[in-house]
Amino acid sequence: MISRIFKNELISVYFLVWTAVAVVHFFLLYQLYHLQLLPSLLDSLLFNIIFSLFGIGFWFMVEYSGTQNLTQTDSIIQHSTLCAISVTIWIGAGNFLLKSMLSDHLVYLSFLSNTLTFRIFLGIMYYGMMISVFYLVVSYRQLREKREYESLLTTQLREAELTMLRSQIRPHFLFNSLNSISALTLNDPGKAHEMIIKLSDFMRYSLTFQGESMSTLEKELYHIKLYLDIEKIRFGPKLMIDYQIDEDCLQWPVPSMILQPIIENAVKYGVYEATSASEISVTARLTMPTLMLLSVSNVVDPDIVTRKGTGTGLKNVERRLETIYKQRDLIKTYNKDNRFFAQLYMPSNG
Amino acid sequence: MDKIKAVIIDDEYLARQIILNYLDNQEFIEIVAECENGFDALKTIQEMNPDLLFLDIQMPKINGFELVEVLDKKPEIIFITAFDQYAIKAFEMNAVDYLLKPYPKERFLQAIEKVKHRLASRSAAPDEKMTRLQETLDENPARIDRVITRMGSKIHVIPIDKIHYIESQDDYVMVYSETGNYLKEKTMKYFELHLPPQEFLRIHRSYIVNISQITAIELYGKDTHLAMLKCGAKLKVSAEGYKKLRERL
Repeated sequence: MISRIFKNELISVYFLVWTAVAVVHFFLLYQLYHLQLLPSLLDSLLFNIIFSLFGIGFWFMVEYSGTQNLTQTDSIIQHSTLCAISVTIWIGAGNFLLKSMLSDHLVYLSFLSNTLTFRIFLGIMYYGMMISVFYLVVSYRQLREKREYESLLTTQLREAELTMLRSQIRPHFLFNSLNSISALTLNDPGKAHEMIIKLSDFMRYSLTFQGESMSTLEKELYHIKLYLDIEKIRFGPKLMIDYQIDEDCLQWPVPSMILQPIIENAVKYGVYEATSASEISVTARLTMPTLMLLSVSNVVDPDIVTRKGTGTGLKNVERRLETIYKQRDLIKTYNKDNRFFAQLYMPSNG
Repeated sequence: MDKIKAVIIDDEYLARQIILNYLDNQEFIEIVAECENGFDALKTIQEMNPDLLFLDIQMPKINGFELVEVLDKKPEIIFITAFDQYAIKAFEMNAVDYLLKPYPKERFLQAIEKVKHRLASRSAAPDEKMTRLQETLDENPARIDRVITRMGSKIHVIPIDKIHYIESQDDYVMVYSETGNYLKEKTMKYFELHLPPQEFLRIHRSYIVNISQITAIELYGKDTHLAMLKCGAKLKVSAEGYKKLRERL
């Protein structure tokens, strides 16, 4: 803590001000009151050094109490008490030391006792001024910190928004799809037309999606189909899809866009990284009257060395499920027989 | 002038179709092959020795850049990508031809014109340009999770967790792995920068080791130690390397 005080440039300013005060103090006594050199010097040095050291204590008090919220009366009581105590100690200690050091300077000693009242007022004034300046410094510092913190928050917020936006737009998917469309317009305008409409529907749905909204499995599957149809146009026979959806699951409530990241994951590892035909399977069935099991799986080529994804897609799904259903472990992933499985458990109570 | 022999390398059928469509009625260029992935592409390039590649970057198993890395003789290349901010920056810095999907016919023909010029005047050897592009790409501090090597016409993809250690050999490094030892034209510095530092450590001027492979460290001479590896290898550890290892283990 001590090293922190002295590293601070404020401390040098502080002692500079006190030096100036001491110099003025000395000249007043020496020139105006025509006291002798030694008493003037000692008087000025002792009183000002003592008070300046007290001041360091005051600073920590202000710095500490600046972080807590005292009521107005409390802080008035606190300061009056502190002021009274410190001024008493200051004058007591000063008088005692000067009297013992300058016992033979009778003129000075009478001057010392005559100026007692004046010194009390001086002490109170010094105290008041110091405390006010300290409060100013502390509140200025807090203001600056607050501003820095706020700008940090704004930056983080903006970054989060950008990531969100990018994940909704999926630039890779979008530009590759547009490229396929541009090929189709040359050879197969009918199919190009179909793909544009599917892409638009899909983009609209993912762009209007909001964090907490609920949907039905049927509606979700409709958009998953749009997405997979588009990918199928891109990848042709390399991508095969197998849906096994039980009739009674269709109206089941599911969080909107909850399947999308899982399907994208399956396409990424099962299709983007595969050199041969690959199948993605999507199944839904009720395991209990109140629980639906959604399962997505894709073929994993054992030779594939993929860039390890950050796993943020699946983590986000997990986090969303936790907030919505207030239940953990609703998602399970595992590898079996060269397939990767992602299973979601959906309770009926949303 | 002979026809320019070109190969299209893209994993999407429709993306290849666009190029064929744009090249219709062009007499100076001949598509000698279409490839769906880097493995086929390497064989085809070695057999056909084309003048030009239309090369997609995002492909299964090995990407376009990784393919270029293992080519001995580099043809002219027109890179094609949908969205890859870093690659685009690298292309711009090295004035390499690239097309952003989807691209118009005019832009495509412009790129072809440039290639024609270069092939005719034989200026700026493609090898040189590719080396510079590779250097720019290598400076990207992104972590790698596989190393692509080639023996003859066969490409080996080595997942980094299968690497035991890497030894420097002049302009090359030798990658010792579970599946064998492979020579790779890269520097030690490259691997130091791109292998994840939690798993790999440079223990000597000549060695980068997979930390999980180390079974024991023995004193060897005054300032040096030896690291014993699970695979049986014993690697010299420099004083500095020893200090780093001690911090890690």
